[in-house]
Amino acid sequence: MSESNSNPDRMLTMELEREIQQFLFDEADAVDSRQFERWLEFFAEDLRYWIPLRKNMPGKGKHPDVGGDRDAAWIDDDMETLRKRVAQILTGVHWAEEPPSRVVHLVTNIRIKPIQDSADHHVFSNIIVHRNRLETESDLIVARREDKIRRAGGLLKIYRRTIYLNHHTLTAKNLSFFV
Amino acid sequence: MTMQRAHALLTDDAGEIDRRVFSDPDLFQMEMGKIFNKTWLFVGHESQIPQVGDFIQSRMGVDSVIVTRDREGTIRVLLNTCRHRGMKVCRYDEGNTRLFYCPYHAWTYDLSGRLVNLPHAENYESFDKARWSLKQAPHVTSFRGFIWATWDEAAQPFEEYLGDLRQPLWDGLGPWDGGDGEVEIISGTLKWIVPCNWKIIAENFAGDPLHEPSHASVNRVRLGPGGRRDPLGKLFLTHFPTGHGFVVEQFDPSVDRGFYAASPATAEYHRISMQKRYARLGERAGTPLVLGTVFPNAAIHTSQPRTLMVAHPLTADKTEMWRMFFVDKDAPQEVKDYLRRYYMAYGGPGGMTEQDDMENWTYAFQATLSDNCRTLPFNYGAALKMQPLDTQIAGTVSAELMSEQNTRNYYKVWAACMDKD
Repeated sequence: MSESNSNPDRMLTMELEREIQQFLFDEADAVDSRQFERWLEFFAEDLRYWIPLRKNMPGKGKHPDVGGDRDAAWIDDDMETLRKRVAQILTGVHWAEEPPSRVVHLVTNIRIKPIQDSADHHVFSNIIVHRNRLETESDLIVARREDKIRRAGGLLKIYRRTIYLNHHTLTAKNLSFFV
Repeated sequence: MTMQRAHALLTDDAGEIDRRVFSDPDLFQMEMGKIFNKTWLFVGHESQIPQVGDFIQSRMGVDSVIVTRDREGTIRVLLNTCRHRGMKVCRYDEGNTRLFYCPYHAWTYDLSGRLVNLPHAENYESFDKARWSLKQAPHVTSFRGFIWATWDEAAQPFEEYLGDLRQPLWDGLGPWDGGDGEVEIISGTLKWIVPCNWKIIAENFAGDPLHEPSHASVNRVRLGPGGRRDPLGKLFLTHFPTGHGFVVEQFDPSVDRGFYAASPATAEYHRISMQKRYARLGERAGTPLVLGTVFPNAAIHTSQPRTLMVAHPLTADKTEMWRMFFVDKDAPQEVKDYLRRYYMAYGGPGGMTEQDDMENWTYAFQATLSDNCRTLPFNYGAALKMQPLDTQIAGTVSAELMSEQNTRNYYKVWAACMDKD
């Protein structure tokens, strides 16, 4: 969760900063407005979409409070699995999302750092995700997010998304919506 | 309260069950004493505490417990409450330590739960430290690395509690190749809260093949060639006198089934392992457990996926689900990686199979709360009069798969526990 990949030598133009911010807002808009096929276009084929577990560990010393790379996680998807999740929602018989939940993403605190020795960017943001479903069932998910973004064929694509939930034990009954 | 209070809520040989079973707070309170303080409960796996001093925080019913490996290498299960003022003496999920230090008044305990230090000890009159140890589960057992504990001093041994389930569960919790190797828990336990009664979750895994419509969407988008998994052989339900219920599969173990085709390394490892399994276990390799519930609240998928769930009761209307995944310890890393991702796409709150279960359980449970709804019993009548099948498969086997024999048996055992003095 550190931002040590920053490279002070490479300048970030205001134009690029704006473009990446706009890209993230558009991405959130695509998923919140249920344009799932369009939403998938924001991701690269070599995607890892990862939501690790959080742990209660001693604050002193080297005890990561985030699940490791090869540990159990809430979500650890490649592009194929992410496509299946979209297809599942679109079946119309995915009862956890039928009738559909209402979901809103707030994306804030965006910081953009060029990744060393590459043209890619490391984009840090904080998110609040609200889901309401059926009548009063509501979930609020708060997280820190790290995206790695590259330009391919003129288009920005997210190839690595890591979402550090601020939650230990999840109070949402499921994660059938996209955090 | 009559002696047969719980049985009175089941009618027609448990073919109908009163909805109060799932939501009456008094019954919930009784369950804590008569079920969770009496039966064997799953608390963790040895691979989570391999070294002396290792511990994990776990749960038994509504209680927090610490599972430790003490100086002698013995596994201890300790009630996580200081004997002085009740504060939790361990608030970390896992770690390695010599002592558990209470942050309130500094009473301090060792890995076996013994009180080893308290400030101002001289101000207590003839203080007997031995009387003020952490409460410890009197019986703890490791069954192929899976750790179970009970609060009941007089409990029957765990293997007796399993009864005829012992052999198939032993086979199901070992490595794919049927040898003496080990499985390991993939580090990290998924923990989440579902607003429904714990038994709705436990019964779902005890053998309820009629809930297949829940999983229509995942079967349509396919996590494997058979829907959410590879195609299974012929399925049977089997249940046991102590309440456990499982789904068993029957197939020809001499024929390779080409499982895990999406991952060539996994497919190859599975194929070779299954050949060895057949050579070791013979025909027994052809009737493995698929999934089931060890009474009261531990659900185990033993073949595909391989995962263990505990439905920890919080209140009558709230349950904390814990799910962990396991793999052969000696499997190649590539195989472990593939299986880990498949298991997570399948189960847990993000799992494409389990998501739909939580939706159904939540809103089915809501309809156990009103007096009006409570005039209508739940129906468990599928294949009520069917005679058991005579077969080599352990337990009482249903002649009809689309049967509710396992869930009926589960609630009959539940009622027997509840009505016991």
